[in-house]
Amino acid sequence: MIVKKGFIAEGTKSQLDENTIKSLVMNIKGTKKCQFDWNTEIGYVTFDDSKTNLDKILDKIEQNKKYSCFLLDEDNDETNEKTIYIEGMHCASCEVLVERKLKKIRSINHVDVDFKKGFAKIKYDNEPSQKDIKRVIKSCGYKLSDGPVINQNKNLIELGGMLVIIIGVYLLMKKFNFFPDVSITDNMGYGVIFMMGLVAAMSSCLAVTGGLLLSLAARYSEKHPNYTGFQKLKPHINFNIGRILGYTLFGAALGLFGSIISVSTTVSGILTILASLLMIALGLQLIGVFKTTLNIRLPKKIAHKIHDLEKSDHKSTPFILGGLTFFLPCGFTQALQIYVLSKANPIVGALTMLAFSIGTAPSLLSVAAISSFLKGNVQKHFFKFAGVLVIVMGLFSINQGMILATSKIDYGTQPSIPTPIDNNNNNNNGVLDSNVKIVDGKQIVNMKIDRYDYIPSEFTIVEGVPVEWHIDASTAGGCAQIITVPKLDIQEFLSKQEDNIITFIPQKEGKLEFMCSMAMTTPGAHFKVVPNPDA
Amino acid sequence: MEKITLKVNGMHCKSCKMLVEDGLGDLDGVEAVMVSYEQGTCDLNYDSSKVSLEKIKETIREEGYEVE
Repeated sequence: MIVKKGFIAEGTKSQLDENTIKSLVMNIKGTKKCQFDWNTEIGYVTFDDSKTNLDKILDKIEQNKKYSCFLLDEDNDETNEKTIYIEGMHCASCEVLVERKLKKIRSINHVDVDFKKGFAKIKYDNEPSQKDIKRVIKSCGYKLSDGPVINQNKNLIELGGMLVIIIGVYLLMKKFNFFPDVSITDNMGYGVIFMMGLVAAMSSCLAVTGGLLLSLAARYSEKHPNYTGFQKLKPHINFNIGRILGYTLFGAALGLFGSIISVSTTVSGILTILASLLMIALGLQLIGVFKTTLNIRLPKKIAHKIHDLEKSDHKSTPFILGGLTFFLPCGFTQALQIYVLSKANPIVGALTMLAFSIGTAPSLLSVAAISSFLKGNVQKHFFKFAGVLVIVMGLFSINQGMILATSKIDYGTQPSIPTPIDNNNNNNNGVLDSNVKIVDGKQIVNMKIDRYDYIPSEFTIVEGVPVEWHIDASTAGGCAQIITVPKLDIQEFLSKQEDNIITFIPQKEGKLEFMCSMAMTTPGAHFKVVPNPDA
Repeated sequence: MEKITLKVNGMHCKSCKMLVEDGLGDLDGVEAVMVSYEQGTCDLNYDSSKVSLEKIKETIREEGYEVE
């Protein structure tokens, strides 16, 4: 094989030396070509390595005692390349920063950083020490990693796994009726209300408020990775103070003004949808779907505006947000709102809401604390988990919001619903549904609420005839204690007794859906209103 | 020594802060650079006989940020 090698021959002083060396080399059998420059003392020789080798050639030159030979350092000739993996880069600025800092290491000639893929390609003469690289990367606030940082597939599997776990836990909780059962009675002590807050914050309130809180917490942590746990916790403390004050204030107002500020089903539905959309967006951001694409492509002007908004995040915003959670559609909060409304007393209202919101604080704060004090990888996984959880919660509640917000709107748009063909129709004295009895010209409907299920959940009633709806709520769970019929504007708080009575007269044929205030009860529960066969 | 606060737009993270601080720190005559990306500000002391304000702003722009 013909090869080309470089060498150094020291001691050359003139063109004469150059010619001597060239002829010495060319006289060796197997050499094809020789270049040499007496000035730089560097030469290259091309030869057939089956016939001779570089050592022999250099020995031959050194036979002339004037010269001493060395191999040309291969490293000077071709630069070496290496890829190092870096964790934590998230934008183009990180890229520039790492590039600059790495270039300051003397032996590194060229640096190429890709923040999306999380690596840097370096070219160097002499391999820089791992220690130096580590120090430099650390000084910019990043972490050196042993292998590729983001593995897209692994990521998806991880997210999928989290999703499965969350749905599994949800189904298990539902199956074993793990959802807490706290009842609202007509006259509750504040201790009981406090206890209710404790429980609520672990169930329905955590679903709505907690989800929101969690995603905001994660955003905050991501933005300020170097803050200590306590610094990160500060906005959460503000959030909870705001929440407690907001609840107290709005509670008093509710007691004072009554229904003016109580939230209607439609508004509550719309709020739910908005909150859910926000949750989904934040959740997606948490699991990193938007992180790279969205941030870069935003036009500069909009990006600035968003950053400006984010700046406000850590001042009074958490405080105000906390106060506004009063209006979020958490079942317990709504139950208490109705309770306060019925008391019509601002002091009772304030104290009730105060006790409740203090009760919710420990659990909300502990979520915040967990997210604030976690670090490194654990934190990363926690936020990913939170992201998936928030998205799932968002999807759940967007559905509830839709039911609440739209069920009233499409009232009357279904002019004809097929008249149910009931086998007992004619034999049963005009009664279409065996669960509906006609007594004294009224339709008596009996229904039981077992935790979160309506038994039965479908009734057929006749148009224009008064309905007396008897509801046994003695075993109703949490927010199932509020029943709403959006189309009729009915929102009733059911006391834990066997006979709650709601009366109404169905005016139009169609479907009258009913549900709890969070739409978490038996899906599709409704009255089917059919034309009066006697009319 | 003169002390000024510049309003810098476009910084959104700690890396941005470090880039601006490093860039200005390399200028002769600039001392004690303090950048806050949250506030979008850059506090610095500089010696106007060695470096002009325009040169400082120029440097910030070269880093890719806006300064008024």
